[in-house]
Amino acid sequence: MKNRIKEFRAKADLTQEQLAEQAGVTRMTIVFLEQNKYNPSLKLAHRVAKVLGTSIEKLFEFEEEED
Amino acid sequence: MKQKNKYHKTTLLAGLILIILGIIYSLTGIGGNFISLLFINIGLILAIVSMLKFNRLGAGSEQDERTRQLSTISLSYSWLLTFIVLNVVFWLDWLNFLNLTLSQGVSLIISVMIISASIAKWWLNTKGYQDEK
Repeated sequence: MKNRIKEFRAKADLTQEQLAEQAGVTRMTIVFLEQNKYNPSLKLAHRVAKVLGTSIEKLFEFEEEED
Repeated sequence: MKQKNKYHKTTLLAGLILIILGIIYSLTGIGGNFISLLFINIGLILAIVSMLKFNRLGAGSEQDERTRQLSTISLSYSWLLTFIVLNVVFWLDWLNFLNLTLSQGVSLIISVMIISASIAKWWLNTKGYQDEK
C-alpha cells in the first residue's frame, strides 16, 4: 500500500511533529507511514486523512494482490 | 496533550516529594537509613525518568497503535526465546553439564525476558514493522 501523506502534509504546511500531534500518534509513526514502512489501521488512516483535509481514497493507494 | 503534561508534572512532583521525605527522614533519623535511602532512590528515579521522557517526547504521544503492536510482537519473541533457553538450561542441568541454583535460574529467566524483549522492540522499531509484504 502506497500513500501520499508527505505530499498532502506539505500542502497543509504541517511538520511531521504537528501531524503526529494532531493525529494522536508518535512522530516515528508518521515517519514510517511516509516511508511506506507501516500500514495504518482504518481508524488511523481516517484520522490522518481528516487532519490533512482529504479522504482515505486520495491519501492511500491500495494495490491489488496478484495470486 | 495537556493530560500528558499533567502526567509528567505529577510524576516529577511525586519524585521530588519522595526525595524531600527521604532527606527529612535522614536528618531526623526516623525509620533508619534504609527507609531514607529507599525514598531518595525512588524519588530520584521518578524525577529523572519524568524529566527525560518530557525532554524526549514533550507533550506528544509516547504510545500509539504501531508501538503497541511492536510491544506485543516483541513480547511474543521474548516468550519464545525464554522458552527455548529454559529448555536448554533444563537439559544442561539434567545432564549435569550445568548446576544452577534457584536464584541463578530465576535471574537468568528475568534477564533473558527483559533483554530479549528490549532488543526485539528496538529491532522491530528500526524496521518500521509491516504486517504484509
